[in-house]
Amino acid sequence: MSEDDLPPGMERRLSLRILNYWRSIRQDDAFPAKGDLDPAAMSDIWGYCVILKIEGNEADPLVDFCGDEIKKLCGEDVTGKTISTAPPKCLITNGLNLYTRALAKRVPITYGDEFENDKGVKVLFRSAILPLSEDGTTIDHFLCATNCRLDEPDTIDGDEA
Amino acid sequence: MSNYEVQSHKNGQWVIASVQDDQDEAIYEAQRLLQGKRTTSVRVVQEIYDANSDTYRMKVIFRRARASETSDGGAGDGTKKKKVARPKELSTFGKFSRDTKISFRAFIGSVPFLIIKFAVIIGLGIWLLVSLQEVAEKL
Repeated sequence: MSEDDLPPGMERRLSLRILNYWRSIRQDDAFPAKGDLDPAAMSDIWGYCVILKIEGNEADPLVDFCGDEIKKLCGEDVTGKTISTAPPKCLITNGLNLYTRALAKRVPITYGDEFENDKGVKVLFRSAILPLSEDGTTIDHFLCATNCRLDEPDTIDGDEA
Repeated sequence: MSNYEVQSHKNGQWVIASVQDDQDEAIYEAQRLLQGKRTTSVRVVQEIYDANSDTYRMKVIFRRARASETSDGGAGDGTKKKKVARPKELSTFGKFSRDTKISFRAFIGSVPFLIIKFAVIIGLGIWLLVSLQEVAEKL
């Protein structure tokens, strides 16, 4: 579902939609668990989601799940790979590199930036990184969502990648 | 580049709820948190990196409290403002004092007071005239 297909009144920014969803499944101050995620309840976002496994991989998280749209954007399925072994110029390596900050601050982080992909095209992205925890306090996974826009000279404004 | 911390006020202290790099997004998120009823006050703190001193400056750029809270959210200094009940004696005295003032003002504006005032002025006038007449007779 592209942003143009969203029902009227729905928040357009993916980063805020997933943050809203994350807050909705959160119990009090405890982080939600990976098992609390319901792809059907966030079907408009799920394709842009990535789940990073942090437990035992703090220095180089493992891609536990990769949404279909992210697979298309990266050109391959990076499930099972770590951040460092994923293609260096793809959305996962560039769009989710602030997980260390989220791990240190123990809060959701949303941010945007740009990078040049393997075709030399500038990619403008926005990402959200949200902590997940089985026991409510120890972060063991991150729910991430990211989408982007290619800044190609011939691309019509607003053309979503 | 600036970051914006969305903070909510819980148990007498500010807690970071999320970090954003976009000011509008951070303010939107702060307002949404306030509507969520899990907090009474929210604020957005901008972190500005100063390359010269290699330090971060923090600046509160947005603050809101729920309507039932004080306008400051009682949170400007991280403490919640409480209404302090007045001692009963003071309250009673205050009431008496206030009532006395109200009665006195009402009396000044009343018709009897105007009549008394008029009579005193007339009396003084007559006394002044009599006094002047006596002085004139002596001369």
